[in-house]
Amino acid sequence: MIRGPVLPQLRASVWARLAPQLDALEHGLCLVLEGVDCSAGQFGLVEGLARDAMGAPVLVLVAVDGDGLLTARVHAACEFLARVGGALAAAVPEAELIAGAAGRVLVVGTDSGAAALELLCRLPLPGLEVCRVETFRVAGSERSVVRWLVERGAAVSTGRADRTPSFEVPVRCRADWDELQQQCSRIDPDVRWDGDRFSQRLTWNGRLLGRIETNRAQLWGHDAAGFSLPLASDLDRRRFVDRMLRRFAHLVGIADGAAGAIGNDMDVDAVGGGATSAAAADETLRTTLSTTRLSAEEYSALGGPTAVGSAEEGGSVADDVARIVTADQPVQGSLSRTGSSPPRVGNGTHRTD
Amino acid sequence: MVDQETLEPDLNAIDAGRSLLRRLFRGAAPEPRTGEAAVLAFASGKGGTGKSFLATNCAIGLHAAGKRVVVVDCDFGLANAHLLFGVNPRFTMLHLLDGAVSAAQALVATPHGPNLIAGGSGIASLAELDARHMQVLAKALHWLAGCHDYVLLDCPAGLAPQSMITVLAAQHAVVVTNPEIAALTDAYALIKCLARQPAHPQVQLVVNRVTTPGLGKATFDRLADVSRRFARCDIHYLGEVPEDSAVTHRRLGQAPLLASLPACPTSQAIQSILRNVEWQVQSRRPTDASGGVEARMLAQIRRW
Repeated sequence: MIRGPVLPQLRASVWARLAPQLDALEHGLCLVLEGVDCSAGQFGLVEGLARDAMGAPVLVLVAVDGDGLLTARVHAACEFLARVGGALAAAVPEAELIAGAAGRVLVVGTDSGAAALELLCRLPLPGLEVCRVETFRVAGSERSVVRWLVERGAAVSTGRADRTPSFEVPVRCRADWDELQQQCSRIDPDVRWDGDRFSQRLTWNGRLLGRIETNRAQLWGHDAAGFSLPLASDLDRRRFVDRMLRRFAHLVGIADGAAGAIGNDMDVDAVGGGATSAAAADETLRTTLSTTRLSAEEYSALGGPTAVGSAEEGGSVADDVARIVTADQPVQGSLSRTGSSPPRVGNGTHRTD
Repeated sequence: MVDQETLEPDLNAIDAGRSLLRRLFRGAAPEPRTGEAAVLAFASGKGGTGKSFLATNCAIGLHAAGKRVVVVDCDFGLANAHLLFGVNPRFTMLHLLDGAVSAAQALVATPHGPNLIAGGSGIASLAELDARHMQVLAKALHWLAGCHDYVLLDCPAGLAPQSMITVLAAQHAVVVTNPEIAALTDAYALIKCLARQPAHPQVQLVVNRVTTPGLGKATFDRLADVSRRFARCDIHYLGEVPEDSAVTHRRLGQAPLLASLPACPTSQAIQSILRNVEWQVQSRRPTDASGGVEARMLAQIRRW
């Protein structure tokens, strides 16, 4: 899903909007270089060379109506890929392409390129893919969907936005993927898979359970909290399904808070393990550490620099310490620190003892 | 160094078959026990509060009470428990985490009774420890917990994930703080972070370097109130340790305080803390559902 306006203007302006968001067209699509000359200067430059999630080269072009050289440029790009695509990995090492991975030519158009896209759909070019980004407004903000018109050199019959390229699974992971699908389907009949060529979302009644992504010929699982793990073994797969099941149980209400927490297998403190811990049920350790902050009220209660309590009410420990220390000796070191800025919690600093 | 006459009666009281000489020179691995050891993590938000001092002396006190104790110096790269025990281990945590030696091989019998897994000095920082290292540590702790009554983890200060994983693997987190605002604030930050985890150990508090009797309790009362109100976490008071120049001025090679000056006020305070520790351990022993130290640590590693 592309957020933000995709304006029907010239190639350059459309490309300027698309280039930073190629990942929204297809998961894992990453722009490597801009301006690829595939026709010895005859038909102009292809907008960009990208790398997909499988490490294959993708030549990306923008289609706008009135571009008389578009068809020729697409032809040249397809021929270029057929001729030298296999050697791009060596010729463009900074692209980090996987040698031997089959390349594609991806033409992206908007409303401004409807006629041009229609023409391209009739071209029988192997390796050509055509998609159209359609924008609409919701609550004042512009959203977009991607309609695939040509997939793997063949026109898509319906051309509907819900018709997306099938999930591509690395050959060595296909058995794992089949097994994973079976296991997830047993969670609940309403569990659904959807996504694009290299990313699949697992949802239950529209609510996200997790995602499976292909990255560099490896399947990765991501749960709703952002925890990721490579699905390289039976154990990894079971662990992922377990997380999906726990998430499902949490959404359904079978497990509440800490009881549904991942890895929650020990006694919790009667009070401390209650509502506070429930907030961390879906969070990673790093997340909870980085999001823990001390509020001004907590500093005040501890007797820090923002203390507001009166001495008659007993004051703070710092006040107690100050009274005791000043009675015995001059105020030193530690108490002078009360004026310093509050320490940030969860910054991962390591101090020595 | 404690002379043998001081220690021999205690050792004999534990197990006639386990002599000091056997432990020192044969390096025999401790015998397996039924059930898992009590795992205590000595932690703090701020450095220099006295975690290592307290962990080593508590270990000596528990050993003297007839318990099989091991101290695991988890202050990776900046370890000093071996200095406090006066031993120069051949193998350290560095070798253990690299897989060069087993936990049994890295285990050192100290002259004061407790066993020790010394911290490595070759690991530059916590950031270099990855999940694989932590899994090795989890397996080592599982083995240690199987053949000791108490496993004391001397954890690094701060809130690094690796440090938190170590603390969260324990059944009891002994938070060591001082009655000054910086240490107090950092201790509360640690408690709050622990309380936010889905499963966290019982939090106990020791106030070290107390200049006036009773100040430790006042400190605890304040911290417990704030923890209960804001972090919704109950903490338990273990005791206070007085400020003692005999501790701060100890030289390298001197025996730990509890072994050399058992009658001094600081040693008496530690003995009092130990009684509370044993009471907490006995009265708040987790159920079997806790899954053991290895399971707890692996669960946290998965959340890393």
